[in-house]
Amino acid sequence: MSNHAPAIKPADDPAFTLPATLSALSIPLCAGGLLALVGGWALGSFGVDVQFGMSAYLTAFIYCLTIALGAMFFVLIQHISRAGWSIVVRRVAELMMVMVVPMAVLFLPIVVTLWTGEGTIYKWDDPGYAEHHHIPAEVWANKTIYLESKFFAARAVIYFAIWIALAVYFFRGSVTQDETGEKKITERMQKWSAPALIILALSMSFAMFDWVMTLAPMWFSTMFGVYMFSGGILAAHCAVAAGTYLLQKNGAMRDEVTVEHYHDLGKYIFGFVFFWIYIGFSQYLLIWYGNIPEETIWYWHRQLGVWGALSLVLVFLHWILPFIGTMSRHVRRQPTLMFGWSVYILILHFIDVYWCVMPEVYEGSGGTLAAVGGGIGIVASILCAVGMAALMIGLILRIAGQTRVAASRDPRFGESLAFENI
Amino acid sequence: MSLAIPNGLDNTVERPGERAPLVLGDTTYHDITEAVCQVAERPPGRGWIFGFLVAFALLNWLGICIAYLIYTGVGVWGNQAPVFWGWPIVNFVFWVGIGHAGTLISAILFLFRQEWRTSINRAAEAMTIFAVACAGTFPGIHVGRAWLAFWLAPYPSLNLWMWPQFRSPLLWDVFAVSTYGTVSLLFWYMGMVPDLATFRDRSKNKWRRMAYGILALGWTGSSRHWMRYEKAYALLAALAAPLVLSVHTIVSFDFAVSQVPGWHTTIFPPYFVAGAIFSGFAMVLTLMVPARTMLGLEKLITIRHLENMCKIILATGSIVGLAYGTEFFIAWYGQVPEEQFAFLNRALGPYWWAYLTMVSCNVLSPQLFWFRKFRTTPWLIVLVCIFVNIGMWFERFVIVVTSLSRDYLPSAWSYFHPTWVDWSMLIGSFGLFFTLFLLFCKLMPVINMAETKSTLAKQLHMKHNDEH
Repeated sequence: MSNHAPAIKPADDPAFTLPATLSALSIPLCAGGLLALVGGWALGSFGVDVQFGMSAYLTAFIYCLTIALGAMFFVLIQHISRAGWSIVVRRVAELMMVMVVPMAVLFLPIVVTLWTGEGTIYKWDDPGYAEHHHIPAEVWANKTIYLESKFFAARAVIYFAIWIALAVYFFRGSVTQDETGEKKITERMQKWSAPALIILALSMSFAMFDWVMTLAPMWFSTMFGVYMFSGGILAAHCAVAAGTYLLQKNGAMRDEVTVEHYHDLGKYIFGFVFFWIYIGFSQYLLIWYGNIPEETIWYWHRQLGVWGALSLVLVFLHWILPFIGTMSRHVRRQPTLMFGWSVYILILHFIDVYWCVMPEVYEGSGGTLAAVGGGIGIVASILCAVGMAALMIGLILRIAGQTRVAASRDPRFGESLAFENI
Repeated sequence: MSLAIPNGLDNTVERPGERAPLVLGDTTYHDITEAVCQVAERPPGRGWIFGFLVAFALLNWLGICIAYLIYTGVGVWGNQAPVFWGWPIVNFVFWVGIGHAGTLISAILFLFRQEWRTSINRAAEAMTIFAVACAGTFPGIHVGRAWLAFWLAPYPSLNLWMWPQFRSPLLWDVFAVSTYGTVSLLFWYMGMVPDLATFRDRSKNKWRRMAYGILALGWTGSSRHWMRYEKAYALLAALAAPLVLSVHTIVSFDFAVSQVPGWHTTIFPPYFVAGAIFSGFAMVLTLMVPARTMLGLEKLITIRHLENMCKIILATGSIVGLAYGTEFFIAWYGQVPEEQFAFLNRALGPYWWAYLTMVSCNVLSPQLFWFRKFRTTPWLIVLVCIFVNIGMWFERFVIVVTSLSRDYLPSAWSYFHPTWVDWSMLIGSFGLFFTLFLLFCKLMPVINMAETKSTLAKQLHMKHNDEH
């Protein structure tokens, strides 16, 4: 820790407000994003079929949600460990975690399709499923206790209630501190971060079981929640690095965020790239080795044709390439390079989510081009994700414009300014 | 930034924006040297001698049992169809798990810049190595013909010309544990070199000086030495960090790659790693709490250090609890009858008592650490940690014995009965562990003096800045 810390600027310093160039983007991003999202869904639904359109929508939804929840994990970890280094970038993560509020609204179409039965992507809702797949009636009767649309919706309400409560509590605390500078707020958030982390881990794990794992109603893996979590945390660290970089490029926090903070974020990105493959590989290895048909089917679908190619893309481009790319200290200490890697991994995270969700639309379909909805399907899937992400960024900018982009009155802000890697 | 409580003994309160001191009292650099060196320099006390004699007797008993086992055959254990993996494997997994705290503290906490690791890492690393030694004993004798244990080495064995089965996680274990043992040993030894030089320089006896001199590798403390030392330390830390995860991941594969209900579940790798860290920290605390008082090191190993470790126990214990819950949920959700039976049988079958012990010790007892009182009162910490140690042994017992005793073939089901040799070897392995640990306390620097001094330096610097 260096001793001659730079002076902390007053909270209303322009360095801590959202640059005008970015706040001007808020409305165009929201409008354009919504348009792209609806357009992508419509293109998928009418260009391919309604199940496809909804699956593309779910992919985009899970993509954005895992990043928001990953950001929440980031914030909670900083509180629980009383971290000093990260205070200058914590607000960026806090803004992302608040996105669980609009995500709750965006979940409604999924529930609506389930209730109306029009275009639902959850096959367990189809009464003919058990018979068609030769599932014993007794097994199916037990399965459908959990896989039942009302219970499913009730669980979703619980998950979102938890996440919104956590996001609002920790965001409000941090923003209030911008005004008052009270140390008590930090102590209070520190105290609640521990139970909050447990509740987050539990709810996220079950949400991923519910929304992604049950797309294949008979498949199960205890690790699945952790797998989705690992990708989300990685993506959230990338989003924090990329977001901070864009803020700096547009004039905010130029003196506050230094190469040291990128270096540390880079270390976490490097670490979580490895954690992601560790979880992904362990899950694959155990299922492959055990070779039990009801488990291997999930990977079997993802081993054929287009899906097989995507599996390899994940191994080589989601793991090996960024693993080598972010290994060097030199790279991690170049903000522009870290920005590049962050955006790259954010794109790969989309492919990861796509690879989890989309093969289930037609139960694999042998990985032909028809399984991805042909060219129209690919465009629709990308449009949905880009649209939803743009909408989220637009909303983040909107909130950031009304608050500040750094928690500059956090009692550890000075420590964060002065922090240096050895 | 100011120091919260400069001279008091309660440094567990940290006001935001300040960092609580990690070295207490008006301790100087010289005091640290004195405090640590006197542990090894003064003649052994009665407590140490008594402890050592007990531990050494148990170690000898272990040796006798091993000799009896090798002479007679593995039939002296309770291992019987269908429980072919009885206590030896339970003990193996138990001890490997214990060996996870040391390297976590010295490598991962180093990478996380956790200053509080400096006064506990040495002893914790020592425990890691001793625990790995205990763990390594069991597979070695479990192979039956222990004199052929070298067939585990990756080469085509004599006269059979057969390679070991590379597709078996049991062989991966050989690599994982031996790599971990080697790197931990290197890490521990390398970190000790500057302190061994201090021991050498303070030696009054010629033989002592020679012995520490050889171990100190000619360390002079020049800035070049320090530069290389720090570089090597950071590199070894980065290399050791993934090993902390890999060892218990591979151990979990031993079970999870199979199709045995209750073993084959994908959450095993991260859940085993969390459990290992959980048990490792519990063992570190069980020993360190009494040791810091007996060796007079309260100003260096403070309540804050203990409290931080309690928090790690609470966190990893909760992860283990979530994993137990997830397993149960998926067993029900998956609707595979064998899986469902396996989990119900764990909780309600003939080994319900083991399951109950496991859950109450591993999931419930660490929850006491939500209360500050339990995290900051030494004897309460030890109490909870002993429960955790018991619980983690039972966890492995539940996994190994419950699942095997109720396999796919009901006609083969049977109840497992440990023999006196099983009991003796479990207790004897503690003899090995404690013998090594007590010797370490008497012969080696129990606290990393050099690093603790650097922590003190930062602390004094902060205080100095504060005064200006």
